[in-house]
Amino acid sequence: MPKIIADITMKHIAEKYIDLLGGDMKSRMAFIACAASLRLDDEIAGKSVELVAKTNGTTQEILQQIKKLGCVWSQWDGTWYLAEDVRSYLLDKLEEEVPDNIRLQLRNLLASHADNLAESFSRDGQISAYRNRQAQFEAAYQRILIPEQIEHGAKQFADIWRKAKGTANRATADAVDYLSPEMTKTLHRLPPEILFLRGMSARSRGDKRGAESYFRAVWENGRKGYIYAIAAHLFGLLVRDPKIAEKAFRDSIKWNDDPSHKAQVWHSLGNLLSRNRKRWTEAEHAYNKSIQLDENPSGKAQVWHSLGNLLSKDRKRWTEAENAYNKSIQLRDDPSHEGQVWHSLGNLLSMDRKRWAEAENAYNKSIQLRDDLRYKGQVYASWADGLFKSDTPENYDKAEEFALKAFSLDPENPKTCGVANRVLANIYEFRGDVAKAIEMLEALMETDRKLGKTKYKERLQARIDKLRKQIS
Amino acid sequence: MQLDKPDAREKHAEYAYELILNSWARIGNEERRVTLTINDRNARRAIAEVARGHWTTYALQLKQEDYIYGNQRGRTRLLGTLLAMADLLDLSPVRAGYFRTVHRLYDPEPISELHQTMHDLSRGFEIIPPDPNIPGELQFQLEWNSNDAVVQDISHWALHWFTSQWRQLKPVLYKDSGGSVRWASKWAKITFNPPAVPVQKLSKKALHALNAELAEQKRIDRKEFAEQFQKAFKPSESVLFILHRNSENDGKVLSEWCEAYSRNLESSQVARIDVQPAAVLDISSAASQIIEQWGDHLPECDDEDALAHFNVMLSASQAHNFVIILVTEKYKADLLQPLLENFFERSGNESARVCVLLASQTKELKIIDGVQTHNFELPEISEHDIVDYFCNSLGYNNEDGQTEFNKIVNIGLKSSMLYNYIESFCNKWINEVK
Repeated sequence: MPKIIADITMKHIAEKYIDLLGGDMKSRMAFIACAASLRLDDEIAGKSVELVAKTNGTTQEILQQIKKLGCVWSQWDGTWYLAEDVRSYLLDKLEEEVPDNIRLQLRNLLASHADNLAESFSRDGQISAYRNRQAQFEAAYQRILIPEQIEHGAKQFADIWRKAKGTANRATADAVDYLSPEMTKTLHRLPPEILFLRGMSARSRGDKRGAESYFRAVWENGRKGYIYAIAAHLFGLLVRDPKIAEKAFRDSIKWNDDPSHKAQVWHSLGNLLSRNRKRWTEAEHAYNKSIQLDENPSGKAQVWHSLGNLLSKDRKRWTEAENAYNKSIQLRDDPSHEGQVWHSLGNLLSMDRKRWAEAENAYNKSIQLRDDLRYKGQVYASWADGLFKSDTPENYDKAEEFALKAFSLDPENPKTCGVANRVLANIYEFRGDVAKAIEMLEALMETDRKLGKTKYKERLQARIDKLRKQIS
Repeated sequence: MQLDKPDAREKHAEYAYELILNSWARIGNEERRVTLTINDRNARRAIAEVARGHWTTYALQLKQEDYIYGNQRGRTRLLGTLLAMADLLDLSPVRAGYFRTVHRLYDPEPISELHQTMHDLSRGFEIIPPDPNIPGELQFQLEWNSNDAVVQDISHWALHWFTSQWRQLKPVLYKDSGGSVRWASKWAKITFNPPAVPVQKLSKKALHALNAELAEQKRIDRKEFAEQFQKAFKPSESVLFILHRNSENDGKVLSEWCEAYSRNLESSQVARIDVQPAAVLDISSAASQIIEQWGDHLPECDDEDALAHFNVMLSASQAHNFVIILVTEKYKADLLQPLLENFFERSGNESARVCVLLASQTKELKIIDGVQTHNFELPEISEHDIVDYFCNSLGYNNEDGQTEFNKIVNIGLKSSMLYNYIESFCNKWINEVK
C-alpha cells in the first residue's frame, strides 16, 4: 500500500500509474515487465514480474494492484493487457532500465510460454483457432526482439500470415504493421518478412505508394522463397517503370516453383508486354505459359480473356481472339466473369460490320449477367460507340440513348464518360447541333485530362474552335 | 418483517417505527397491527424512535437526550447509534435463516440470497481492542469460512457499506459516550479462512447481483450516461453508446459497470470483446468470441458463415436484451462494421440491442440507420461529483469530503486514478487471506 504519493501533475500518465503503485523500484520494474507482453495471463505475468522485479513473496500482491489500474484492461477470457498509450511508454523504459540479460531472459520466457499456449489449444472451433494464432503471434513477436532469434521470429510471422485465411490474413499483416515502429527501435533494420507484411497491410488499405516501397525493399534483397516471389510480383504490378516491372516479374517466376504462382506471374507479365506493340509475340508467349501452368480453370479463364484482348488488336487474328473469348467463357461458370468476357467479345465483333447483330447480342448478354450498375454503364458506352462506328445514321438515336444511359449508370467513371462524350459529340455534330457538340467536346477534354490522356488535346481544341466559328 | 409488503426489506426501519408507535391498545385496528404493553407515551415514542434508529440515518437524527419514560431523560442518540452499529456489524451465521433449514419452500430473490449467503459464510465476529495495551480502541474483527474470490468480493461489498456507515456513526458515538467508544485507525480486520467444511455458493443470478452492486458502489458520477444506458433496455430499442477511451479517464470502470448492470438484468445475453491493435482478429474470430459468451460454440468457419450463425443466434434467442461491450483503440471498420451492422439488423425480433463502444478514435465508424447513437467524451469528473461520492457512498461529511478532493487535486490525479486512490487511502480495513 503506498504511503506517500509525490506530486505527479506533470508526469507521463504511465509514471503517474507507477506512483499510484507506490513509486518504489519493485513496483516500477513489475509494471515495466508487464509491458513486454502483448497480452498476459496471471501465470506468465507472475513469472515476468518475478524475473524483472525480483518480487519474491510479494508477486501476487503487486500483480493484483497492477490489474486494478485504470490503464490495465481485462479480456472476457481472463487475460489482460496494458492500454497502448501506457505500454508504448513502458517499452522504452524496458529497454532503458532493465539489463540486457534480464530482458532477453524475459523475452525467451514469454516466447516459450506463448508456444506452449499455442499447443494447448485443440482445434475444435473458431475460437481455439484464433487463440492458437494469437499465441503463435505473441511468440513470433517476442522472438523477433531476441537478437539470435530474429530470423526465427520473422519466419514465424510469415508462416502465420501464410496459414491464415480470409480476413485473418489481413489482420496478421495489419498487426505486424502496427508493431513495426516499436520493432524498428530495437532491430533498426526490419527483416524482409516484416517489410513484406507491411507491404501487404499497405496494399489492403489502398496505400499504393507504401506498398510499392515495402515490396521494392523485399525484392531488391530478394532470393528464392515464397514471400520474395510474391513481393516481386506485387511490386511489378505497382511500379510504373515497365522495365523494372518486367525484371520483378521474371524474378518472381524464378523464386517460386509453385505452378499456380508462376501461372499468375506469367499472366501479369503478359499484360505488361501487351502494352508494347513490339512485344506482342512475347506477351502471347507469356499468356500461353500461364495457361499451361495453371491447373485451375478459373485462373485459365482469366488468361484466355487477356489473350483474347491481345489478339483482338490484330485484325488478322480476330478469329483466334474470338476463340479465346469463347474458351474463357466456357471455363468459368461465374456471371461476373462471363459478363466481362461477353463485353470484350461484343467490342471485337462490333469491329466487323457484318457481325453487328452478334455484337449486339454479346453486349446484351453482358448486361444481363452483371448486376453492377456501373459495369452496365461501361457496356452501354461500348455499345453506343459501336453503334456510332457502324456509320448507319439510323443507329444514331439508339447510340445517343445508350450514351446517355452510360452517363446515368456510371457517372463517376472518366473512361465510361469519355466514350459517351465522344459518341455524343460526334452525333450532335452530325446533326448540326453545334452548341451541344461543343459541350460534349469540352466534357471529353475534361475526362481525357482525368485519365492523363493529352495526346488529342490540341486536336479537340481545334475542333471546338472550328465549331465556335460556325455559330459566331 | 411483514411478508405481505414487497418493500418490507427496504423500509423495515420505518415499518418497525410505525408498528411500535401504533401498538397501544387504544389505537384502532386499522392502524394497530400489534399490541404491546407499553403504556407510557414517552416510552413508546422513545422505543419506536430507537428501533427505527438501528438505521444510521435515523440514529443520527435522534436527539442527544430526550424523555424516555415519564419525566425521565435518557441518552437516546447514544442508544440509537450503539444499536445502529450493532445491527450493522451483526453478520452472525444465525441470521442465515434460509440456509439453516432443510425446508426451502421458495427461491429467494438474488439480493436476499446474497444477504443470506453472506451470513452463512460468516464464521463469526468480535468487537474488541486489537491491541490489549490500548483497551479503549475497538476493532471489528470478522472471519469468513472461505478465502475464494467470490467471498472476498462479498466481503468488499459489505465492508464498503459498513465503512460508510461507521464513518458517520464514529464521531457521534465518541462524543455521546464521553470518549468511551472509539476505534482503531484500521477499524476492521477481515480474515479469510480456507474452507474447512463445504460452504454455500452463490447462484448465477445472485453472483450477477453482487457484481452489479460492486460496480454501482464503485462508479463515481457519470449519472447522465448511466441513466441513458438504463433507459436503453426496452423492447425493440437499438442503441449505440460511444465512449471516448484513454488512460486518463474512467472508461474502464464504466465498461465494467455496463457489463455488470447488463448481466444482472432478467434475460440478457451479454458479451465483451477487446480488440487490441496487435490482435490477429478476423470477423469470424470476433463473432466466435461473442457467440461463445452467449452460450454457443462456433466451429471453424469463414467470415460469412460466422455472421450467418451470429444472425441466427440473435433472431432465434428468447433473450429480452442483447448487449455487446466493444473495447478498441482505433475503430477498424473492416472488422467491426459488419459485426455492428449484423447486430443491429432486425428480422422481427423485439429484443433490445445495446452496444457500448469504447474507442480512442472512431473516424471509420459509419452510423447505422435506425440506431440511436449517443456520444460521451468522458471529461474529468467534477469537484462536485467527487465530493458527492465521498459523502454519499463513502460516508464522509462535507468537510472531510472536500479535504479528500483537495488532496486529489494537489496530487494531480486523473479520473482513471480516483478508484485506486480510494482503495488505497479510503478503505479503512485490513484483509488477511489465509
